[in-house]
Amino acid sequence: MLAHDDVTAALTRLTGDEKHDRSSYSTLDVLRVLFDRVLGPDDRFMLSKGHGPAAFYAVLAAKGLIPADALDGFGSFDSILGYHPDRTLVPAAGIGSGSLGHGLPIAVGSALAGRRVVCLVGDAELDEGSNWEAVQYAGRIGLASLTAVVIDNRSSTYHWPGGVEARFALEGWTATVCDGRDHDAIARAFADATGERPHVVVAEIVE
Amino acid sequence: MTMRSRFYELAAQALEDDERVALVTAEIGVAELPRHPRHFNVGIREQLMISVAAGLALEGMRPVAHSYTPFLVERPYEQLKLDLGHQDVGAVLVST
Repeated sequence: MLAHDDVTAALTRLTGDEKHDRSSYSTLDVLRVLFDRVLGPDDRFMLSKGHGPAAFYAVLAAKGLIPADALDGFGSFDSILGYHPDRTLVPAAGIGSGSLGHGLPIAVGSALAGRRVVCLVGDAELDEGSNWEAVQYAGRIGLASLTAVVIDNRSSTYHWPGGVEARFALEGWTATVCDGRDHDAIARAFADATGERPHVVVAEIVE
Repeated sequence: MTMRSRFYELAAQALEDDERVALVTAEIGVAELPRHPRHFNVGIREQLMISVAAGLALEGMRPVAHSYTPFLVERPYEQLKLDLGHQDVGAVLVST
């Protein structure tokens, strides 16, 4: 279990203009629960919403998945920790991110190969139509090894009438909405996956 | 024999010869290619076709993606660039 102090200490070492992006902290609690209580050693995690990676790097450092010393050089030329994670430098990122709308479709391919995959996306990222190709296909074929987690901090300009979860459910996914700051609630939301259909966790962040 | 029909024969054979080979299609060629547990037809979703190929490659498979040229290259151009190139994974792309 991650000690609170470990993550706080790691966050303190990350400095620079990029650090205080609100998107950095919206993911923090979900990432802690994922790496502490959800992901198994053979599972793959894909960080699709790669911008604002400070919380992600802090959790990886606290878990020993990147060297803590790397935190000091965050975003510098020689650092392995870029403003978007690169899977070739930080394998725990799962993919190299940048443009939005790529992680979930790649996760579908990984799941088709038999891997259990969890992919993190943002609610505004879902504006990108490429995500819906993935949601539709995964839902219709019942791709049970795929789990998506949507960090819903209401940052999408046009919003999702009826809630993000309704869009996934329509396509055949199971869906659980939870408080994105409540660790036990987040863990329970992931545990709702039935093993028969893809599952989405919508983690609501009230800022 | 056309190039397409030759490809369909070879792709079917490759599926049998190597269990790492997977076919990814978006309706084009589905009638000519075998139904197979490693043939994934994603429907008319070309961006997903390339992304799925990338995900399969990340897991160590050898994906072959196929469609008509504009649907293999121009529609999913960013997926070719980022999901294959930027992830440092490979796929065989076959157009006509």
